Amino acid sequence: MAEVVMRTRSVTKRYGAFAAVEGLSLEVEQGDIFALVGQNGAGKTTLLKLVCGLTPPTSGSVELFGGSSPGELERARRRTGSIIETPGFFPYLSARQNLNYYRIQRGIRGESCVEKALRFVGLEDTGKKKFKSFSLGMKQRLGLALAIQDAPELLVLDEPINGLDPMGIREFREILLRLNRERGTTILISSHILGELSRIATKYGFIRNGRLIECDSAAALEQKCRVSLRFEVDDAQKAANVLRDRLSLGPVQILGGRTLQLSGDVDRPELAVKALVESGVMVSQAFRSGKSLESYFVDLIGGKNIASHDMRGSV
Amino acid sequence: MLHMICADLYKTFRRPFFYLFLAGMGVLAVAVNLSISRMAPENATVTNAWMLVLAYFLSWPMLLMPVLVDLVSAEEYKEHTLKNSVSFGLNRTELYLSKIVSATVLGAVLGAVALGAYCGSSLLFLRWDPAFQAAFAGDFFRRVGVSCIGYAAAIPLAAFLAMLLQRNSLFVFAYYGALCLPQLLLQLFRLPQLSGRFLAMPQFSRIAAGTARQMQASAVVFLVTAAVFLCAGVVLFRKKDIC
Repeated sequence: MAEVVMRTRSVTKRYGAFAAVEGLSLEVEQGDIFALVGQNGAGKTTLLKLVCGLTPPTSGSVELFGGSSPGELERARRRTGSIIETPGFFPYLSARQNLNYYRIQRGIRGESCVEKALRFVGLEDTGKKKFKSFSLGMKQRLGLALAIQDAPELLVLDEPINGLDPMGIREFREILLRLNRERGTTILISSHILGELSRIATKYGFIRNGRLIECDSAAALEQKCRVSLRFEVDDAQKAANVLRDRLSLGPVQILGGRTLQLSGDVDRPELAVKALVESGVMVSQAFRSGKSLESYFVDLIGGKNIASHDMRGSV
Repeated sequence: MLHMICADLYKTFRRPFFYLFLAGMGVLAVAVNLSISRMAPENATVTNAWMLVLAYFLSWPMLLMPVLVDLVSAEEYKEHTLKNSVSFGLNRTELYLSKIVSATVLGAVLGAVALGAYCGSSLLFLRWDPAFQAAFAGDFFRRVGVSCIGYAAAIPLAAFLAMLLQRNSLFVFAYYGALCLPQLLLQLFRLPQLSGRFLAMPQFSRIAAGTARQMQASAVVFLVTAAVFLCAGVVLFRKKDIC
């Protein structure tokens, strides 16, 4: 079983009467790319701030690399890198100088880690250009460079791809995947761009009103969201046999006496209907069912009607 | 903590504004002596120039302390850079104290430049008079030295206010208010003797003309002021939400 890198136990953060995070328990295992999904104000940033020690919890605890006392957490945070909200740097310093500032502050000897981090994010040629003249994409990359400059074992990223153009998003995604695959970096990431998350995440945590409402692996979620083709026929068993024998599609499942489901995204459903009709099976309805991650998320936070209308359509 | 101080100095010494500020102070100091030599040539002696510092300029550096605090810590709130340090697990107490020490070091550099420029230009441009003796110079630097404790004590006050009020203009106004308002209020309530005993700003007139014992008392007032705001700052910073 993989080591638990980060764990929260019933962690709560209140601002007056408002609970930004309430009784939230979560575990992130080594090697995971854990995606935090939630609406604006759901408590994602607050949770990440709690993990990074930027705000103290009202109750509950945060554990990093097995340590939860203040001293252990301080030491454990040296094994993490983070981007919380927008990257903050000194506007009058260059990328290299900004990273050097934090390198000196953290007591890291030699500038090689700075050069390596800048190269990794593609900012090695920015020269004397000041941070204040950077584009948003460059600022985000510099944030990532700082986060990875000390080769962290855990990366905490809060909306890191906000404001990036499609090219930038793609490059950012590739950097994260490289970090995860090449260095084994565990990543805890929140984002509104669900399609993007679904390309990298290995686990998902859905947050609503400061509570964790569901936690799933990517495989389990994929199973739940799987697109399938459903038929209502006069004889489900016969139809299943026909589909298995005549078409080499995904697995066929009989859901009831008259309903069967063909799993997977079927490109040409008309071929299945034709095969059934030619075999003497009466098809009364055929429709796609299933959800995208986005629809699943909307369902979870209470927008079931919107989601089902969105994704269900007749063939 | 040494790493944190070095990092702050690395950052500030790469900031053009800091050099402009140093140059500005140096030029101002030289300009005062030049104007003395031009406007009142009969009184343009080194002794008078140095006396002028004690009589009028001793409390002025207090007004510059927010600039030093802004260079080191206030801008961190403004640029949201503190989260990079705290999220790395740097100890908050050490981080806060390192900012105070860094601002004090920068203050020492600024003081050395301004005082060096003033004293140096007075020796160059003004007349050496018989009253300008080693004993006079020693007394002058003793009084300036005690004043430096006051300037250093103002840094924790400014840092505390910068953390409390993260908008620069508000923090600077609050700092000047904290220096001047209590004195005015005590005078309003006809308690001027208390202001001389407990407040920082009135100490500078005592340092300028007071006895060694009075200077010691002033130093104690400065040290207590520094301790109070240092402790308050550390306590607040340890609990503060960093964004």
